[in-house]
Amino acid sequence: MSSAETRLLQAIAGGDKAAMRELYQRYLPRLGRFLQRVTQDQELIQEAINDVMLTVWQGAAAFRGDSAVSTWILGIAYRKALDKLRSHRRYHDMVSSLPEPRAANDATEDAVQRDLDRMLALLTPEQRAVAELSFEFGYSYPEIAEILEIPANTVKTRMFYARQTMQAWYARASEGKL
Amino acid sequence: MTHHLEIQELLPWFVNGSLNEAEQSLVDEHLDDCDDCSAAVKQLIDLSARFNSAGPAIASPDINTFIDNLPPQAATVPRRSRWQVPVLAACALLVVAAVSMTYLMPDDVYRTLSRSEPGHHSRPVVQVVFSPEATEREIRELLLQGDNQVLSGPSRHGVYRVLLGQTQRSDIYIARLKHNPDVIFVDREEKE
Repeated sequence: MSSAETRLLQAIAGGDKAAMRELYQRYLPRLGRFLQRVTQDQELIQEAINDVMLTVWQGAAAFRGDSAVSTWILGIAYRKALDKLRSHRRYHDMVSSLPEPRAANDATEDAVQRDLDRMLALLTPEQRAVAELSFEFGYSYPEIAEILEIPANTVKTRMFYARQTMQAWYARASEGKL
Repeated sequence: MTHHLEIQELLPWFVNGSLNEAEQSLVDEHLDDCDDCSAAVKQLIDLSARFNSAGPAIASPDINTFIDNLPPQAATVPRRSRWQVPVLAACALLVVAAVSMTYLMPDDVYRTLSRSEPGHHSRPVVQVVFSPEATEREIRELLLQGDNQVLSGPSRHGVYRVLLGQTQRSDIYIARLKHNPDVIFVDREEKE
Protein backbone atom coordinates (compact mmCIF):
# COMPACT_ATOMS: atom_id res chain seq x y z
CA MET A 1 0.00 0.00 0.00
CA SER A 2 1.26 3.48 -0.82
CA SER A 3 1.58 5.33 2.45
CA ALA A 4 1.66 8.62 0.55
CA GLU A 5 -1.75 7.88 -0.93
CA THR A 6 -3.08 6.78 2.45
CA ARG A 7 -1.91 10.07 3.92
CA LEU A 8 -3.61 11.90 1.07
CA LEU A 9 -6.86 10.14 1.88
CA GLN A 10 -6.54 11.02 5.55
CA ALA A 11 -6.05 14.65 4.60
CA ILE A 12 -9.05 14.46 2.27
CA ALA A 13 -11.15 13.03 5.08
CA GLY A 14 -10.25 16.15 7.04
CA GLY A 15 -11.48 18.40 4.25
CA ASP A 16 -8.11 19.21 2.62
CA LYS A 17 -8.95 20.28 -0.93
CA ALA A 18 -5.30 20.54 -1.97
CA ALA A 19 -4.90 16.86 -1.12
CA MET A 20 -8.04 16.13 -3.13
CA ARG A 21 -6.60 17.98 -6.09
CA GLU A 22 -3.35 16.01 -5.86
CA LEU A 23 -5.15 12.68 -5.70
CA TYR A 24 -7.42 13.70 -8.58
CA GLN A 25 -4.46 14.62 -10.79
CA ARG A 26 -2.61 11.46 -9.81
CA TYR A 27 -5.54 9.20 -10.76
CA LEU A 28 -6.93 11.09 -13.74
CA PRO A 29 -4.95 9.20 -16.44
CA ARG A 30 -5.66 5.77 -14.94
CA LEU A 31 -9.32 6.49 -14.29
CA GLY A 32 -9.84 8.04 -17.69
CA ARG A 33 -8.39 5.06 -19.46
CA PHE A 34 -10.19 2.51 -17.32
CA LEU A 35 -13.56 4.24 -17.63
CA GLN A 36 -13.13 4.73 -21.36
CA ARG A 37 -12.42 1.06 -21.88
CA VAL A 38 -15.28 -0.14 -19.68
CA THR A 39 -17.92 2.32 -20.88
CA GLN A 40 -16.71 2.77 -24.48
CA ASP A 41 -18.39 6.15 -24.31
CA GLN A 42 -16.45 9.42 -24.28
CA GLU A 43 -19.50 11.37 -23.16
CA LEU A 44 -19.76 9.46 -19.93
CA ILE A 45 -16.13 9.63 -18.91
CA GLN A 46 -15.76 13.14 -17.51
CA GLU A 47 -18.99 12.85 -15.58
CA ALA A 48 -17.96 9.43 -14.29
CA ILE A 49 -14.51 10.65 -13.22
CA ASN A 50 -16.07 13.46 -11.20
CA ASP A 51 -18.58 11.04 -9.68
CA VAL A 52 -15.76 8.71 -8.65
CA MET A 53 -13.78 11.55 -7.13
CA LEU A 54 -16.82 12.91 -5.32
CA THR A 55 -17.35 9.46 -3.79
CA VAL A 56 -13.69 9.42 -2.78
CA TRP A 57 -14.13 12.83 -1.15
CA GLN A 58 -17.24 11.72 0.71
CA GLY A 59 -16.00 8.27 1.58
CA ALA A 60 -12.35 8.98 2.47
CA ALA A 61 -13.11 8.82 6.18
CA ALA A 62 -14.55 5.34 5.72
CA PHE A 63 -11.44 3.97 4.01
CA ARG A 64 -10.09 1.40 6.42
CA GLY A 65 -6.78 0.65 4.76
CA ASP A 66 -7.53 -3.04 4.31
CA SER A 67 -6.69 -2.75 0.62
CA ALA A 68 -4.54 -0.47 -1.52
CA VAL A 69 -5.97 2.98 -2.23
CA SER A 70 -5.83 2.18 -5.95
CA THR A 71 -7.87 -1.00 -5.41
CA TRP A 72 -10.50 0.97 -3.52
CA ILE A 73 -10.69 3.75 -6.12
CA LEU A 74 -10.81 1.42 -9.13
CA GLY A 75 -13.58 -0.54 -7.41
CA ILE A 76 -15.58 2.67 -7.06
CA ALA A 77 -14.84 3.50 -10.70
CA TYR A 78 -16.05 0.11 -11.87
CA ARG A 79 -19.36 0.42 -10.04
CA LYS A 80 -19.82 4.01 -11.23
CA ALA A 81 -19.14 2.93 -14.81
CA LEU A 82 -21.83 0.24 -14.68
CA ASP A 83 -24.19 2.68 -12.97
CA LYS A 84 -23.62 5.24 -15.73
CA LEU A 85 -24.13 2.71 -18.49
CA ARG A 86 -27.38 1.50 -17.04
CA SER A 87 -28.71 4.95 -16.30
CA HIS A 88 -28.05 5.94 -19.89
CA ARG A 89 -30.02 2.89 -21.01
CA ARG A 90 -27.23 1.89 -23.34
CA TYR A 91 -26.05 -1.10 -21.41
CA HIS A 92 -27.57 -3.85 -23.51
CA ASP A 93 -27.34 -2.04 -26.81
CA MET A 94 -23.61 -1.56 -26.45
CA VAL A 95 -22.84 -5.24 -26.29
CA SER A 96 -23.89 -5.79 -29.85
CA SER A 97 -23.10 -2.41 -31.42
CA LEU A 98 -19.79 -1.20 -32.78
CA PRO A 99 -18.40 2.27 -32.04
CA GLU A 100 -18.00 4.88 -34.74
CA PRO A 101 -14.41 5.06 -35.98
CA ARG A 102 -12.54 8.11 -34.71
CA ALA A 103 -11.09 10.64 -37.13
CA ALA A 104 -7.64 9.42 -38.12
CA ASN A 105 -4.70 11.59 -37.16
CA ASP A 106 -1.94 9.07 -36.88
CA ALA A 107 -2.97 6.32 -39.27
CA THR A 108 -1.11 3.43 -37.63
CA GLU A 109 -1.91 4.21 -34.03
CA ASP A 110 -5.45 5.07 -34.91
CA ALA A 111 -5.93 1.80 -36.76
CA VAL A 112 -4.69 -0.13 -33.73
CA GLN A 113 -7.02 1.84 -31.46
CA ARG A 114 -9.94 1.33 -33.82
CA ASP A 115 -9.33 -2.40 -34.05
CA LEU A 116 -9.16 -2.66 -30.30
CA ASP A 117 -12.32 -0.60 -29.87
CA ARG A 118 -14.18 -2.83 -32.32
CA MET A 119 -13.04 -5.94 -30.55
CA LEU A 120 -13.81 -4.58 -27.08
CA ALA A 121 -17.25 -3.50 -28.21
CA LEU A 122 -18.10 -7.17 -28.58
CA LEU A 123 -17.47 -7.76 -24.88
CA THR A 124 -19.71 -6.92 -21.96
CA PRO A 125 -18.61 -4.03 -19.71
CA GLU A 126 -17.80 -6.58 -17.00
CA GLN A 127 -15.56 -8.54 -19.37
CA ARG A 128 -13.91 -5.32 -20.57
CA ALA A 129 -13.10 -4.38 -16.98
CA VAL A 130 -11.36 -7.72 -16.40
CA ALA A 131 -9.44 -7.44 -19.68
CA GLU A 132 -8.39 -3.84 -19.01
CA LEU A 133 -7.27 -4.53 -15.46
CA SER A 134 -5.28 -7.53 -16.69
CA PHE A 135 -3.67 -6.35 -19.90
CA GLU A 136 -3.36 -2.62 -19.33
CA PHE A 137 -2.97 -2.37 -15.54
CA GLY A 138 -1.19 -5.69 -15.01
CA TYR A 139 -3.25 -6.78 -12.01
CA SER A 140 -3.32 -10.40 -10.88
CA TYR A 141 -6.65 -12.23 -10.91
CA PRO A 142 -6.95 -12.16 -7.08
CA GLU A 143 -6.38 -8.38 -7.18
CA ILE A 144 -9.04 -7.99 -9.87
CA ALA A 145 -11.41 -10.08 -7.76
CA GLU A 146 -10.83 -7.65 -4.91
CA ILE A 147 -11.34 -4.56 -7.06
CA LEU A 148 -14.54 -5.84 -8.69
CA GLU A 149 -15.74 -7.55 -5.50
CA ILE A 150 -16.34 -10.86 -7.22
CA PRO A 151 -14.88 -14.33 -6.62
CA ALA A 152 -11.52 -15.11 -8.27
CA ASN A 153 -13.18 -17.87 -10.28
CA THR A 154 -15.64 -15.35 -11.70
CA VAL A 155 -12.68 -13.26 -12.88
CA LYS A 156 -11.34 -16.32 -14.69
CA THR A 157 -14.77 -17.09 -16.15
CA ARG A 158 -15.21 -13.55 -17.46
CA MET A 159 -11.75 -13.66 -18.98
CA PHE A 160 -12.49 -17.07 -20.51
CA TYR A 161 -15.57 -15.79 -22.35
CA ALA A 162 -13.83 -12.54 -23.27
CA ARG A 163 -10.99 -14.52 -24.82
CA GLN A 164 -13.42 -16.69 -26.78
CA THR A 165 -14.97 -13.57 -28.27
CA MET A 166 -11.60 -11.98 -28.95
CA GLN A 167 -10.25 -15.15 -30.55
CA ALA A 168 -13.25 -15.26 -32.86
CA TRP A 169 -12.54 -11.65 -33.76
CA TYR A 170 -8.89 -12.49 -34.46
CA ALA A 171 -9.94 -15.38 -36.69
CA ARG A 172 -12.31 -13.19 -38.71
CA ALA A 173 -9.66 -10.46 -38.94
CA SER A 174 -7.09 -12.92 -40.28
CA GLU A 175 -9.59 -14.06 -42.91
CA GLY A 176 -10.19 -10.45 -43.91
CA LYS A 177 -13.85 -10.62 -42.97
CA LEU A 178 -13.89 -7.49 -40.81
CA MET B 1 -7.30 -32.39 -19.93
CA THR B 2 -8.41 -30.76 -16.72
CA HIS B 3 -4.86 -29.63 -16.13
CA HIS B 4 -4.72 -28.16 -19.65
CA LEU B 5 -7.93 -26.17 -19.07
CA GLU B 6 -6.69 -24.90 -15.73
CA ILE B 7 -3.46 -23.74 -17.35
CA GLN B 8 -5.38 -22.08 -20.18
CA GLU B 9 -7.30 -20.01 -17.64
CA LEU B 10 -4.05 -18.73 -16.14
CA LEU B 11 -2.46 -17.63 -19.41
CA PRO B 12 -3.63 -13.97 -19.38
CA TRP B 13 -1.93 -13.50 -16.02
CA PHE B 14 1.11 -15.48 -17.14
CA VAL B 15 1.45 -12.89 -19.89
CA ASN B 16 1.12 -9.92 -17.52
CA GLY B 17 3.56 -11.53 -15.09
CA SER B 18 1.29 -11.51 -12.05
CA LEU B 19 1.07 -15.25 -11.29
CA ASN B 20 2.61 -16.54 -8.11
CA GLU B 21 5.73 -18.70 -8.35
CA ALA B 22 3.92 -22.03 -8.19
CA GLU B 23 1.45 -21.06 -10.92
CA GLN B 24 4.24 -19.59 -13.02
CA SER B 25 6.17 -22.89 -12.85
CA LEU B 26 3.08 -24.90 -13.75
CA VAL B 27 2.46 -22.80 -16.84
CA ASP B 28 6.13 -22.85 -17.84
CA GLU B 29 6.24 -26.65 -17.71
CA HIS B 30 2.97 -27.00 -19.59
CA LEU B 31 4.04 -24.65 -22.38
CA ASP B 32 6.99 -26.90 -23.19
CA ASP B 33 4.58 -29.60 -24.36
CA CYS B 34 1.45 -27.75 -25.47
CA ASP B 35 1.34 -26.05 -28.86
CA ASP B 36 -2.20 -24.76 -28.32
CA CYS B 37 -1.26 -22.90 -25.17
CA SER B 38 1.94 -21.59 -26.74
CA ALA B 39 -0.11 -20.18 -29.61
CA ALA B 40 -2.57 -18.69 -27.12
CA VAL B 41 0.29 -16.99 -25.28
CA LYS B 42 1.50 -15.38 -28.52
CA GLN B 43 -2.00 -14.09 -29.18
CA LEU B 44 -2.30 -12.76 -25.63
CA ILE B 45 1.06 -10.98 -25.94
CA ASP B 46 -0.23 -9.32 -29.11
CA LEU B 47 -3.44 -8.39 -27.36
CA SER B 48 -1.57 -6.97 -24.40
CA ALA B 49 0.57 -4.88 -26.75
CA ARG B 50 -2.58 -3.52 -28.38
CA PHE B 51 -3.96 -2.49 -24.98
CA ASN B 52 -0.73 -0.76 -24.05
CA SER B 53 0.06 0.93 -27.35
CA ALA B 54 -3.36 2.28 -28.14
CA GLY B 55 -4.28 4.76 -25.43
CA PRO B 56 -7.58 6.47 -26.05
CA ALA B 57 -7.47 10.25 -25.98
CA ILE B 58 -9.30 11.49 -22.89
CA ALA B 59 -10.45 15.09 -22.63
CA SER B 60 -9.35 16.40 -19.25
CA PRO B 61 -12.16 17.45 -16.92
CA ASP B 62 -12.16 20.88 -15.29
CA ILE B 63 -10.49 20.01 -12.00
CA ASN B 64 -10.65 23.56 -10.65
CA THR B 65 -14.42 23.70 -10.96
CA PHE B 66 -14.73 20.29 -9.40
CA ILE B 67 -12.54 21.23 -6.42
CA ASP B 68 -14.29 24.58 -5.95
CA ASN B 69 -17.70 22.90 -5.84
CA LEU B 70 -16.85 20.12 -3.41
CA PRO B 71 -19.35 19.97 -0.56
CA PRO B 72 -17.93 20.50 2.92
CA GLN B 73 -16.86 17.35 4.67
CA ALA B 74 -19.30 16.19 7.30
CA ALA B 75 -18.59 17.69 10.72
CA THR B 76 -15.94 15.70 12.48
CA VAL B 77 -17.63 13.53 15.07
CA PRO B 78 -15.77 11.13 17.29
CA ARG B 79 -15.62 7.96 15.23
CA ARG B 80 -16.03 4.59 16.81
CA SER B 81 -12.79 2.69 16.90
CA ARG B 82 -12.43 -0.23 14.52
CA TRP B 83 -13.15 -2.86 17.17
CA GLN B 84 -16.19 -1.09 18.55
CA VAL B 85 -18.19 -1.25 15.35
CA PRO B 86 -18.23 -5.05 14.96
CA VAL B 87 -18.73 -5.52 18.70
CA LEU B 88 -21.68 -3.14 18.75
CA ALA B 89 -23.07 -4.72 15.61
CA ALA B 90 -22.72 -8.17 17.13
CA CYS B 91 -24.46 -7.04 20.32
CA ALA B 92 -27.28 -5.50 18.28
CA LEU B 93 -27.60 -8.69 16.30
CA LEU B 94 -27.79 -10.80 19.43
CA VAL B 95 -30.56 -8.63 20.86
CA VAL B 96 -32.52 -8.60 17.62
CA ALA B 97 -32.05 -12.32 17.12
CA ALA B 98 -33.18 -13.08 20.66
CA VAL B 99 -36.28 -10.90 20.31
CA SER B 100 -37.05 -12.32 16.91
CA MET B 101 -36.76 -15.90 18.03
CA THR B 102 -38.85 -15.35 21.14
CA TYR B 103 -41.66 -13.16 19.91
CA LEU B 104 -41.70 -12.53 16.23
CA MET B 105 -40.85 -15.64 14.30
CA PRO B 106 -41.53 -18.67 16.45
CA ASP B 107 -42.39 -20.81 13.45
CA ASP B 108 -40.25 -19.09 10.89
CA VAL B 109 -36.67 -19.53 9.76
CA TYR B 110 -34.07 -17.81 11.95
CA ARG B 111 -33.07 -14.62 10.20
CA THR B 112 -29.84 -12.72 10.72
CA LEU B 113 -28.69 -9.49 9.18
CA SER B 114 -26.33 -11.37 6.91
CA ARG B 115 -27.28 -14.93 6.08
CA SER B 116 -25.44 -16.60 3.26
CA GLU B 117 -27.61 -18.16 0.61
CA PRO B 118 -26.11 -20.83 -1.61
CA GLY B 119 -26.69 -20.87 -5.35
CA HIS B 120 -28.42 -18.41 -7.62
CA HIS B 121 -31.30 -16.17 -6.66
CA SER B 122 -34.48 -15.65 -8.61
CA ARG B 123 -34.95 -12.24 -6.98
CA PRO B 124 -32.76 -9.21 -7.75
CA VAL B 125 -29.63 -8.64 -5.67
CA VAL B 126 -28.67 -5.03 -4.93
CA GLN B 127 -25.30 -3.69 -3.79
CA VAL B 128 -25.30 -0.79 -1.33
CA VAL B 129 -22.50 1.32 0.18
CA PHE B 130 -23.26 3.68 3.06
CA SER B 131 -21.57 6.89 4.12
CA PRO B 132 -19.48 6.64 7.28
CA GLU B 133 -22.07 8.76 9.07
CA ALA B 134 -24.82 6.15 8.68
CA THR B 135 -25.64 4.45 11.95
CA GLU B 136 -26.16 0.74 12.43
CA ARG B 137 -29.86 1.36 12.91
CA GLU B 138 -30.18 3.40 9.73
CA ILE B 139 -28.31 0.76 7.77
CA ARG B 140 -30.52 -1.98 9.17
CA GLU B 141 -33.71 -0.07 8.40
CA LEU B 142 -32.67 0.69 4.85
CA LEU B 143 -31.45 -2.78 4.05
CA LEU B 144 -34.15 -4.83 5.71
CA GLN B 145 -37.16 -3.08 4.22
CA GLY B 146 -40.04 -5.45 3.62
CA ASP B 147 -38.81 -9.00 3.37
CA ASN B 148 -35.34 -8.14 2.08
CA GLN B 149 -32.43 -10.26 3.17
CA VAL B 150 -28.81 -9.20 3.55
CA LEU B 151 -26.67 -11.82 1.84
CA SER B 152 -23.29 -10.42 2.84
CA GLY B 153 -21.54 -7.30 3.99
CA PRO B 154 -20.04 -5.04 4.73
CA SER B 155 -17.17 -6.11 2.50
CA ARG B 156 -13.71 -4.58 2.73
CA HIS B 157 -15.02 -1.72 0.65
CA GLY B 158 -18.21 -1.37 2.66
CA VAL B 159 -20.48 -3.11 0.16
CA TYR B 160 -23.65 -4.84 1.39
CA ARG B 161 -25.40 -7.35 -0.90
CA VAL B 162 -29.16 -7.43 -0.43
CA LEU B 163 -31.55 -9.98 -1.84
CA LEU B 164 -34.78 -8.09 -2.47
CA GLY B 165 -37.92 -9.63 -1.09
CA GLN B 166 -41.02 -10.61 -3.03
CA THR B 167 -42.71 -7.32 -2.18
CA GLN B 168 -39.86 -5.10 -3.40
CA ARG B 169 -39.48 -3.66 -6.89
CA SER B 170 -35.78 -3.18 -7.54
CA ASP B 171 -36.14 0.06 -9.53
CA ILE B 172 -38.22 1.69 -6.80
CA TYR B 173 -35.97 0.42 -4.01
CA ILE B 174 -32.83 1.64 -5.79
CA ALA B 175 -34.37 5.03 -6.61
CA ARG B 176 -35.41 5.46 -2.98
CA LEU B 177 -31.94 4.65 -1.69
CA LYS B 178 -30.27 6.90 -4.26
CA HIS B 179 -32.06 9.85 -2.70
CA ASN B 180 -30.98 8.92 0.80
CA PRO B 181 -28.00 11.04 1.94
CA ASP B 182 -26.59 8.10 3.90
CA VAL B 183 -26.20 6.04 0.73
CA ILE B 184 -23.03 6.57 -1.32
CA PHE B 185 -23.71 3.89 -3.91
CA VAL B 186 -26.57 1.60 -4.83
CA ASP B 187 -26.99 -0.57 -7.88
CA ARG B 188 -28.49 -3.82 -9.01
CA GLU B 189 -26.03 -6.72 -9.18
CA GLU B 190 -25.71 -8.43 -12.53
CA LYS B 191 -26.27 -12.17 -12.66
CA GLU B 192 -23.23 -14.21 -13.61
